[in-house]
Amino acid sequence: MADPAVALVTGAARGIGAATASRFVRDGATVFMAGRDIASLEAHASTLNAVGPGTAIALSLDVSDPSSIAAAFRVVFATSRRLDVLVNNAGVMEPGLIGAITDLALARAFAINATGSILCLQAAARLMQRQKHGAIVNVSSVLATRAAVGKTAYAASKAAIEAATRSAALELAPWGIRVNAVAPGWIDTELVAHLSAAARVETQRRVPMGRPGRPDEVATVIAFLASPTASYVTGAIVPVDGGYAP
Amino acid sequence: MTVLAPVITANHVTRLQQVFTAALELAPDVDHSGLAYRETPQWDSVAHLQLVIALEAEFDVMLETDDVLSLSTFGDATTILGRHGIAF
Repeated sequence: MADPAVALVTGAARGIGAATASRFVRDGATVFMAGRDIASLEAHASTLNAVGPGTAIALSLDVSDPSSIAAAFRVVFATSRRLDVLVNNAGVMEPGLIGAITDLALARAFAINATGSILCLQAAARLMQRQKHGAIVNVSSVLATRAAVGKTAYAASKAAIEAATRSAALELAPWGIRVNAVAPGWIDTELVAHLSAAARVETQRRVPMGRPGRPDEVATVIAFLASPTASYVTGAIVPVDGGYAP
Repeated sequence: MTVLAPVITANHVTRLQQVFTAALELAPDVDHSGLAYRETPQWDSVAHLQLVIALEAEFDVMLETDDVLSLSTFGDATTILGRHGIAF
């Protein structure tokens, strides 16, 4: 990241988002930890700030609400006047077999996983364009390109953000802004906590590395894509899946 | 949105004219009051975003998406910036 870097991570209260925020603070960045659970974010930020060397700031954000997105980016602008990195991590998984997918579940999956991420991307890009540099990392899923039973809404919404990643990378490259995505596979987070024991055994069978990934293993790849080390990487979708094979 | 108290500076109009001239690559003697989005040849959709970014940088403001979409004339820019505390 740029020095001194300012980053915003959505869905930062737990899982991959929390691990990414931790990584950025360890790297010395100022990190807006954004999400709906402000109490949890403040507690996590306090823990990170006790160690440093960077700074964590809890930020209220509901990515399904466009007015909340606008308000959050106004706070970033008022506080820092810049943004070097956006990590679009907030996401929901709405499992449901075809025939049992409600319109509300479908709308929620797209509002958070796709629409909200694109609106955050747009708001971040506006700040980055004036700097003529920046890095945006979207968190997709292995299911964006591989099939799974009961994941139609989730997979479609993640495919949308991968398509957005490629288009945004093309459009923002002249501004010095890189846009990439990671596509995590089976990562040990709350998102997959609903899996039954049988489903976990079946999922593990499909992972050649034989174990779920850890959030920090995804955060490491996000940190790489956000860093100048990846200065010639844009429009890429990087799998972090232990070799997952459906 | 919160409406900020205007910050009145005599050269705001001059600065705004300079931003338009540079962002839209206009002739130095252009009549800024006659500029119109998609009617002035240089003011196309790509130049529009260049103009928005230049306005934000010059006046240190963050425009809303609605501001970006409603910016169609030089006069609109004074109105929009006025809502962000820049008086003309």
